[in-house]
Amino acid sequence: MTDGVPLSWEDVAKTHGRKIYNFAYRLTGNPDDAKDLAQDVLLRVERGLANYTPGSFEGWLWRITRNVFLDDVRRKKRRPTTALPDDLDRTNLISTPAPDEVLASIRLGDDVQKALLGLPYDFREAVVLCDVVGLSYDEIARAVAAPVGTVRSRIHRGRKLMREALT
Amino acid sequence: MIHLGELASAYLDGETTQQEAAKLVAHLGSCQACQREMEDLHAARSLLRSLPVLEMPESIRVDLGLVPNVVPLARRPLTWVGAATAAVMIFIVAATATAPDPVGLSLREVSIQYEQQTLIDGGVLPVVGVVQAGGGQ
Repeated sequence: MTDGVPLSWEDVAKTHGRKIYNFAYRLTGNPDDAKDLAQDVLLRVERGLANYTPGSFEGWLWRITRNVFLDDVRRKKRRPTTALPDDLDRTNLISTPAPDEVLASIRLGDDVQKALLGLPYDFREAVVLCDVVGLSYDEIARAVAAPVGTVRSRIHRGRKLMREALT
Repeated sequence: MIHLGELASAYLDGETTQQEAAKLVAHLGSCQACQREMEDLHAARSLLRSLPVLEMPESIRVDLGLVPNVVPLARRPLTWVGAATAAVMIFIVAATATAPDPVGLSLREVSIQYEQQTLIDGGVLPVVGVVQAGGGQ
């Protein structure tokens, strides 16, 4: 890495692949769609990295990620919401604590995921970028090409709707 | 009274200015509604942040060719198993072509002919004797 910019496409896959996949999974709620999207993002990064000009790498990467997702939504002509599958892909869970904890966490995770999928796209995207990916408001603003004030509002409203859906 | 609104979420994320934070803290001290909202927002934020982190499927790395020493099946060189299988297939075809028409022969006779053929050709095919049920005499 140089100034936060990965040197190669392989570095991007190594350092950001998991985050990209989790972003895609939380937006779609579907492991197959998430896999396709993550793969498309990495391919687009490979093509675009040569023309990348130093700046906000995170903003650049997440703008690509977002565009891939929106392109896919347009291509499939579907609302950017899909139903949660019955058989969530649980084989890729990173940590495996005690069985009881895993079950409780999965049930809770399912509820949270369902609530997430019920959010309007802009709110869902904002809370996922903030709370799942861990971007700052500035980085989210660059990624979604919106003012920071709009991002702040979307995150707030998204969380309020999440809370209402889960009570 | 003006409530906190979106300032509350921003405060939880450390995304407020010092002035905004001071205003928020002062307001929270005297507004129960905003205290409750703050608690709700904190709970929603915690739930989102506690979602399990998923590992990127290995198949993505494989599909993109990022995993070293993984050659697609079609491009793999013949292993000894593959070579042995090919040899066996060739032998069977050759033996079938040179053997007399087995029509009218018993299964035992066919088996014996194949065994003899194997010895003559020095083939590697492990010969499994075929014995008719109740036969042998």
